[in-house]
Amino acid sequence: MRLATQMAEPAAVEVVDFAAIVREHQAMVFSIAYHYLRDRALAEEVAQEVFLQLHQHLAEFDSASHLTFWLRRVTSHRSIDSSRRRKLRPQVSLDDVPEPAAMPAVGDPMLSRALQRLVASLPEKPRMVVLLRYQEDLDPGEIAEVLDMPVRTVKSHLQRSLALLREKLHRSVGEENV
Amino acid sequence: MSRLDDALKEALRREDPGPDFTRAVLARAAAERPKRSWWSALASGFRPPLVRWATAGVLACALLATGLEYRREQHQRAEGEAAKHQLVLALRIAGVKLHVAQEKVFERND
Repeated sequence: MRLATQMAEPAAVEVVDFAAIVREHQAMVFSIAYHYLRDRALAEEVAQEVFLQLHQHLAEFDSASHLTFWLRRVTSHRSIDSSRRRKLRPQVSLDDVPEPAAMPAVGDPMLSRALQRLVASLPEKPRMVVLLRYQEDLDPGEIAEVLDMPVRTVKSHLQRSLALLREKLHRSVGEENV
Repeated sequence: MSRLDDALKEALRREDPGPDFTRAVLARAAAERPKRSWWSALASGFRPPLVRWATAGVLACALLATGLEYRREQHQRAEGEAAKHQLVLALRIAGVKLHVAQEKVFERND
């Protein structure tokens, strides 16, 4: 596999492979940071820092799954740290986020934007749990490993967050199938 | 899978930051490379398993040398103690004989 050869190859080959790794994973890393921080410039900065850290530890990875796990873990923690440092987190509380005027169809840009804002207003850990669940499609066990928290805490965060989001959307449309 | 799940997946789908992002990361990585290169080279020379075996070998040699030196010292000390005892015994015998000779000399003079 590519990572295995990378460990033994000279710097030039390493650069080529590192570029390929960046291209392959940049959407995942950037999106975790972006959906979490809701700030494109800050998300790019966090994502770049993650890849630079990866570059320094490139020889330590023995499999593609290990690399993906590491990237998710480091990006999650760096995003949370960045949010804390710049005090970006609850700029708006969930109650302050305007409700959608009507429940649009799934795939509607308006609904997506509204949901992004709602997710961004969640507390930091539940927000990252929701992100990893719906952006990365991880199950609670995998999320627990990435975030170093018990599985039951992950499930509890997910249930509460979904209830909050559902309630907010229900208030606007009053449907039961949301 | 509820409608909210679908809507969340749609809202939180991945976005690619674009080719400029890749270029920026590679440029920053390249800028950091010289700063790390000598250290990396040094560190690579000390990578296991070579270092692990070398360290184990050196430690084993040091332990063996220390043990041998300790045994040599103990042996020398024992030899020294034995010599000391022999000397003391020889001096005592010599003292007794001298005393006997001195008494004989005194008897003859009397």
